[in-house]
Amino acid sequence: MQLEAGRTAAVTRAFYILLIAVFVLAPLFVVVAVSLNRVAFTAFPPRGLSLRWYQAVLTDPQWRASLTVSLWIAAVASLLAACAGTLGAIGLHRGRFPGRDALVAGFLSPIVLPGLITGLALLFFFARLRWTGTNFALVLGHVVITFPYVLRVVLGSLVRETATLEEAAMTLGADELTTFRRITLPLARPGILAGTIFAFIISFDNITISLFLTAPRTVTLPIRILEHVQWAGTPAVAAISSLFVFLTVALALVVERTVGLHRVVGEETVGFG
Amino acid sequence: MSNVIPRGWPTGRPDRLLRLAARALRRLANAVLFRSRASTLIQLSPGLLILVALFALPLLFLAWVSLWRHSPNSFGPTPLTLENYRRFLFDGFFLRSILRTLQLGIVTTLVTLALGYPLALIMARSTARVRGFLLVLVLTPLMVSVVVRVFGWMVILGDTGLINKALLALGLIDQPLRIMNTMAAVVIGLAQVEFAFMVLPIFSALLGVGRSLEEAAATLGASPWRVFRHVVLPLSLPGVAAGSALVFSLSVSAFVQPQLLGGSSFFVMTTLMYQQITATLNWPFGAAIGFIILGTALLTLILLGVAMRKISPRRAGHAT
Amino acid sequence: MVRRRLQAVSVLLVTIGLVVLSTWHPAASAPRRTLVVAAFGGTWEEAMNRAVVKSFQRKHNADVVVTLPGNSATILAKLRAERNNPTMDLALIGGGLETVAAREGLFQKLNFNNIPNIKNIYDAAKSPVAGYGPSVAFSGVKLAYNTRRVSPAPTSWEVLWDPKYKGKVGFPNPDNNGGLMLIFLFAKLNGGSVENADPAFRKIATLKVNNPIFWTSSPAAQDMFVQEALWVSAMFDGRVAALIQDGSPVAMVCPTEGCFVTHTYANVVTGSKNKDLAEAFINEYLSVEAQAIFAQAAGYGPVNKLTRLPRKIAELVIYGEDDIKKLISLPWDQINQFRDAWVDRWNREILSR
Repeated sequence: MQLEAGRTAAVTRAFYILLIAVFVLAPLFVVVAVSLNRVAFTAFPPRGLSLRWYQAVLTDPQWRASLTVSLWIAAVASLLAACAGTLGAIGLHRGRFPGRDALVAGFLSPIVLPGLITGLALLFFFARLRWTGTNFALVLGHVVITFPYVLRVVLGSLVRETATLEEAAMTLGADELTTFRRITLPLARPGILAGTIFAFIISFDNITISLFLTAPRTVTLPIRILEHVQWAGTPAVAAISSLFVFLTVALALVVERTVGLHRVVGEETVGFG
Repeated sequence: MSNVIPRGWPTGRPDRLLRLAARALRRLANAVLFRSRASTLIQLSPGLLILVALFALPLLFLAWVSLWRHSPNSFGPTPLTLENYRRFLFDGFFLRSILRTLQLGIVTTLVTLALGYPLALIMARSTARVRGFLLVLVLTPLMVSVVVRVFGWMVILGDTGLINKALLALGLIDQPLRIMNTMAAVVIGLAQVEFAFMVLPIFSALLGVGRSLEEAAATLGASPWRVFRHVVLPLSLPGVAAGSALVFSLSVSAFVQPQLLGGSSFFVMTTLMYQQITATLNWPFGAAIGFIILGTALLTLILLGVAMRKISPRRAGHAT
Repeated sequence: MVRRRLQAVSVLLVTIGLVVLSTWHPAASAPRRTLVVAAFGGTWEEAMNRAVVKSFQRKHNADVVVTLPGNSATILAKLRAERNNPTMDLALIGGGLETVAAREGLFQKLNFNNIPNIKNIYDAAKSPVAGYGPSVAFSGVKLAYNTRRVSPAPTSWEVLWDPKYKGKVGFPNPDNNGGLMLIFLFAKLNGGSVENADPAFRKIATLKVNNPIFWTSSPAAQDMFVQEALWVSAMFDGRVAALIQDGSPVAMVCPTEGCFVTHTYANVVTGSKNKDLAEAFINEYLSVEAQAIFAQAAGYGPVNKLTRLPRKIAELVIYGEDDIKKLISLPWDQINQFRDAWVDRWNREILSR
């Protein structure tokens, strides 16, 4: 379906995007508003305007430490998840064997099972191995719940065209490894990227697994946020959440200015174009 | 045997040995990774290893726990019994919660699909800059912790919340609309964050659909709508399947949104399970509920996958 | 080119290996001993640091690591899983779960000779199971109300049934300890007991006509008071104190039928190698100075009889022999037997529409 050049089409599109934006951002406006409170509790509409909570959060070493830990764990976990998930997706894409459908669904189990049960199972498992409280176990726990995202998304992006192109390449004399490197992987790239982004975010946001597996000294960011919500109730949490939103937007702008977003999100079309 | 010579391959004599070694390694890799009978298994092995060693194995302990008989103030093995499963599966109250859970999953999937597919289309056909903007837009809710997000929704959807205040002020209603503590509020809260999980897979799949295919179909005289319906839509179905599977799974296992937005009377399997693990401390029963969640959701996902395959047009040898 | 490629691959492999290995080994152990305390975050952690941790670290030349496991239920899960190899030395736990843990053998009995301050605590603060850790703070569950919306000031739990406040009354679920307390109270008030809670369920079922908001999460209920979605409800006094100190028009009262006291007990974990340090920590926590600082910073009642508090704080927390006498303490051993049954009945009879 060509993007009609007509004005009505453009207006409809813009209106639609606006609608989605309102839906997706609505609670975040509340969060940003709450973060500007001068008072020490989460009033909405905000009572007085102040940046004190941003200051409090940015200067507090505990929040900074939690942020660092969460970023580090998420980076390692999502990397490992990307590898395992991509390979698995390629195997499932080509494979024809009985029970394939069941296996595709089965790989989603870590997402389907509520985090409390997975966390409890991992807790007892790692406790038996005496690995509780190590970052190693924490990373492994995060890999378990994030690699299904990569696998499923990559599988979904390996459309039928991939097979045609692969066939064409092999007819032209490329062996499997070259085909894999030059045809399959680039075609799967948007899927791999999307899946890894999901894996990173899921790991970064994770509460239940982390609650059970973190070391005494390690307090990940979502745990600190949860504790704060339960036991402090100041707008500091709103401030940190708003900071993330601004950071993401800023990051996107920086990427656009320097490398160019097209390197990340792909050119306008893929394939023969 | 003609191998396409990769760009930059060394041709000097000192590298001949290296070339031979590399070629042998390449043949080995091809044979093992791609051509052998076990190649699929090898590709799947990291994923399977994680699934079995780090997921199924730890769950075995909880499966055993689910067969214990619970007694307060103690936690230890008892003679095995299926009582916990029987208690859940043979009771109208709990069976209704299964239905409600599946209903929540399906409704959320349909809502995100209806809203997300057009956006994925727009993204696929836009410039990189617009695409990047939409990507950030869709991912932003995930940047914010779930408890914070849900408190935001409570402020908006509550009886004294923003929506009601606005509607009352405009005179459109004279009694506050009950949005909080209904399934609608939970779907809204879930859809907002699961939106990205539907849009991105569809977007990725659409990127794989060559524009030339559409142009060819259009040249052959098909209207834009027919091109979409018979070319683009079917070829994007793997993405739709992936997005739907993710959204459904996330909805079924969600806890915070059903508890805080659905209210105490909104019983889904996950909230009932949490109750058993944290409030009644009846871990055997809680573990049993967990496995029932896993079973019913996986069953639904398998059925969904089979249905998807039946809908999508068949091509010899490479159906999804 | 091949060499470069091989180099690249080997560098990648080595990097991955290093990354994985770096996450394996925890930080090198310090020369000083370390005491790991499982406690709660936010204001509790800050207050505890100010009141106890700083002076303890100075006096005993040991480090204190405060771990934040989330809540008592997660602490219990960790205790059960790490039974033979605990990562925690001292656990702060309450709501009846300390009784469960003690009975399962997850805690050690204490040597009270090492905790001289324990002579000065109220009897009510001693462990419900003899020989185990004492309570470090009093917390109450009382009737909280919005002073602008609710008048006259309520004196009885019956105000929840007042049709004037339809849709604005709150009631905790038994998932929350507050709910268990109220079921206990209404059972007793209406001729029942822990074993026979029928009168309680019958009475609470009649509340449904007043469109109550049943809640589980205390912070959510606190937020509802701020948003004025809730005008009157049972609440933990620490939360109400926070609301009052922030300027919300909220007050609390102990109704004539009675209100409740609940505790957070400090216990030494079985298998801990730092029992002596842990007992010293408890002793520090029970001292007059620590109790005064903690009460003011966190909004909980001091358990040490000798503690003096300024009047502003004293009004908000449980303080003094008279206050304590009025409060109902729950027989957790008994109630733990009925959690399962009560929650199940609650789901079906009270919550189901």
